[in-house]
Amino acid sequence: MDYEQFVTMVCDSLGLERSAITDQTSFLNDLGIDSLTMANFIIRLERRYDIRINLANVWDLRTVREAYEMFCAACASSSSPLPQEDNNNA
Amino acid sequence: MHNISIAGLGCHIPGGKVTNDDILATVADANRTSLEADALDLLLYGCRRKFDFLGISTRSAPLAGSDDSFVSMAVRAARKALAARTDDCRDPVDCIIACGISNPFREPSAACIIARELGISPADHFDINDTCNGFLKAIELASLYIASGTCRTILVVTAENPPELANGLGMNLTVESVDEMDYRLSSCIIGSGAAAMLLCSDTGKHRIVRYRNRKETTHWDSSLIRIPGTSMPETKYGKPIDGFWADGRGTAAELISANPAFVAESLTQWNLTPSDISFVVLHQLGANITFAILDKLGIPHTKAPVNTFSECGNMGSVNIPANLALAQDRGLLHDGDRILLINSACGFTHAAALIEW
Repeated sequence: MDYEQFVTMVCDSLGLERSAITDQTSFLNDLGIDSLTMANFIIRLERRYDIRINLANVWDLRTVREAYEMFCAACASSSSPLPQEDNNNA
Repeated sequence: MHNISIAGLGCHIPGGKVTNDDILATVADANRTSLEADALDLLLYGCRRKFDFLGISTRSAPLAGSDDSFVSMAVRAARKALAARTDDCRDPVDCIIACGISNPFREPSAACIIARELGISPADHFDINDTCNGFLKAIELASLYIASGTCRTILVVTAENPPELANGLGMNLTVESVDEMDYRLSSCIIGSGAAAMLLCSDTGKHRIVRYRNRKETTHWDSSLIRIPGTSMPETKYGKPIDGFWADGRGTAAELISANPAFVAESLTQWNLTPSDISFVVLHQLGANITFAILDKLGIPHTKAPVNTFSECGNMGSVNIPANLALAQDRGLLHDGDRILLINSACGFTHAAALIEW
């Protein structure tokens, strides 16, 4: 999954407009995404892609770009290859 | 706020522990027949990961077979505070103020029962309810009573024993959907405990010198405990509800955005900066909220080393005084320390107090 596909998934999952997101968009300050909503998003990512994300890193997660990098790191450390985009809802 | 001194401090944390697995078993039992297998699986996985996310492993609870209850825990904490009484405060207790969200008593007051159990007859005793801010609000009241000369020595006591209340209300954790669990998660992270503080006029040590709170009603239904059969205006939850409900997502967002601003404003009013603060004691709602508040204030996490949430859960109005008492017990408080208490409560209430140790 490339960054653009990841952003699309974020928008679908969190009910956001694509135009609202740039590399530096802050989840909390710009999008108003609170930590529990973020946790819900991550839980669905884990379930969908059979990965495990280190929740200790979530405290430092500020931007969508950082979320993508965290997602890629979780995929890299799992036994499964970086997932390809699918059309299922997260 | 008129300056008063802490003449004694104590807490009681019961020895029982409710694990995440215990809670998940309860959630599973409550929803096995109402949810499809896949949905139940997602519900349980989500709960487990949210416990990880919040940093909770156990909740304090009465030991099986023990006599720990709202009253007995309050009395134990009160006895510790009285036993720790400093030599410069020897007047008899002339008022007891009790609080606690899970206070099961409507008549008589819990304060009346606690006084009797302690074997003392103060001239005044009464309960207050300011939800999770009850203890700090009681301190503010004590300050006014002492400053006016109405009282000389006041014992403020709080206890929380959610299982006692939940059992009385016949609560369960059945949900209609996986998403609904976010509104019930707060009742999966609550713990039991008690704390007490003996207060007297300013002795020059362990002084409580500042208190502020800000209250608003926009989010009045952010957290609710509804006794079945009672009337309540329509809530954000969109259906009749009983027992413990809380909008965890909305609460976290509001607290993380508004609480640090309130505390920063308080420090400015008190002519202080975050670097002037030696020690911080926060309300215990989870690592995400604790760290976010500290980060926004620019206060290092190391200045808030006592956080009971992971072991005890959210003990409501007990959090602040219990964590302060534990800090004292562990020798972490030093003469001259400026201790900042940061609190919040449903409604919302934002509160801050300053102690000069």
